[in-house]
Amino acid sequence: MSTLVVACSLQMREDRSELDSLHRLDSQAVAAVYDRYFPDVYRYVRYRLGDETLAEDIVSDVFVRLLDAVQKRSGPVINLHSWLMGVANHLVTDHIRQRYRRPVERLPESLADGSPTLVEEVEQREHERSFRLALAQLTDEQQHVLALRFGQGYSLEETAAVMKKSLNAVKALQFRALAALHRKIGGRHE
Amino acid sequence: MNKPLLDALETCLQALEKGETLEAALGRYPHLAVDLRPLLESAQAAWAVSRRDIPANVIARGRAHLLAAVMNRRAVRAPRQRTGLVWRIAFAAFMVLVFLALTGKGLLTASAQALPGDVLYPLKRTVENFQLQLAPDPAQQTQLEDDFKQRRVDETQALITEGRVETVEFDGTVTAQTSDGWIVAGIPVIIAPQTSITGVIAVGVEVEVTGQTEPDGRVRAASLTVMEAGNSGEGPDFFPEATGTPEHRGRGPQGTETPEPTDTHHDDSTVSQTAEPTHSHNSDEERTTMPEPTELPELTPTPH
Repeated sequence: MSTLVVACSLQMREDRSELDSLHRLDSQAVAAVYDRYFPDVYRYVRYRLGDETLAEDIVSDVFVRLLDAVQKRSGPVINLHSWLMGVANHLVTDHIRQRYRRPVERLPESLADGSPTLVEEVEQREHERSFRLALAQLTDEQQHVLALRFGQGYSLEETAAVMKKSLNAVKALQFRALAALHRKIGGRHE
Repeated sequence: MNKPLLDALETCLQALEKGETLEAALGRYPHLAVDLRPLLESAQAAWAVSRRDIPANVIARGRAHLLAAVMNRRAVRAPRQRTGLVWRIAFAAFMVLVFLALTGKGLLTASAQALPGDVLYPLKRTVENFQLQLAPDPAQQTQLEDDFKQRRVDETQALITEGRVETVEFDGTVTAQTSDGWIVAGIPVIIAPQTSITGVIAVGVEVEVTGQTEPDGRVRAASLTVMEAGNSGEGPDFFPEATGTPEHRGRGPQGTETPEPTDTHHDDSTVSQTAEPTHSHNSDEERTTMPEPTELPELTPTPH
């Protein structure tokens, strides 16, 4: 327990130092923060959207918002990682809401009539596509917890820290999320 | 919610993560297998679309984009900081004005009594300068200048009375010579080897004195400057007793109006050795005779 407290304390101190450097617009510090957190944020966004180009744009927006928030002293105070993942969640949610106002894009018919390799690829893409369509129908919190636990591979404790929830609350949330996902995927296949 | 079911789900998820098969994981909780199976299948589907790889160019592009944003914000921040500085200065000036408006009368009253070396003395001089600049006509300006000139003399006398050692400056007429200096506006002024003298000093001339008040009631002059050249020609030119400082006394432009000293017919050896009487070119020749030093106060020139 005491080791955990010390680790948390050290992490907080490190985060404060990073935030001070960001406020000074120190290029090296900004680059260091980016290198440290970009992979996590990018994978998270890509997992939820399934689009690399879109993920790249949204993650750029996440870090630019971090700069703006730090300059205005309205950004993260202690846990930079949680703040970044939270902003990423909001931006993805906003994007999904906007996207679903437009017609759902369909796979080109020509792809379905291709070679065996192409057929496998198409099947894989169809599988992913149906998963993401099902995922997109879940609540924001359910999508968030699934992306953290299965997209990021976070432990229960790490997920709880990012979501600022108790372990039991995360257990219950992931239970409901998996059940809802099963219903959506099953419903599409039936 | 069913806590055993939640805990069983978590245990099975961790088992799958470690590489166990779905059946093996479900085998841990056979009585819950029906409920757990669809959840674990969904979890496997969720894991299946997870990817760890990140293209290197994506990372590089994102870093470049972010650093460009940093540069833009730096460029924007600099003018903002300058603007902020201007506003802070304006605010400080405003607060000073408010302070002066609230306390100004008391401060000005207090500063009017200030002497050189006092905290409020600079304020007193600043107010005087404002008064001079705001004088409605030249006559009033001249009147103010005379008043302020008298104030400087009064201040110096007040400092001498209090026995304070302060730097002073005042104007006045030379009224007499002493053994080591002059009497200017009634104040004894000591001439030291370091004293800088501009012009020819004589009784009756107007001089500007800067120096330091001494505890013995005199002013040790740092500089003496003759203010009005015309005065030197109206009366007998007179130099104080030689104190080792003649070499410091500049003749200045007034030298042309003050004839060079000539041999004196005065037989008082003390006076002829210590003073440098001048010689007039006009009919006032008799006034070039150097009087006895003790009679100097009475030697105020009387033009014929």
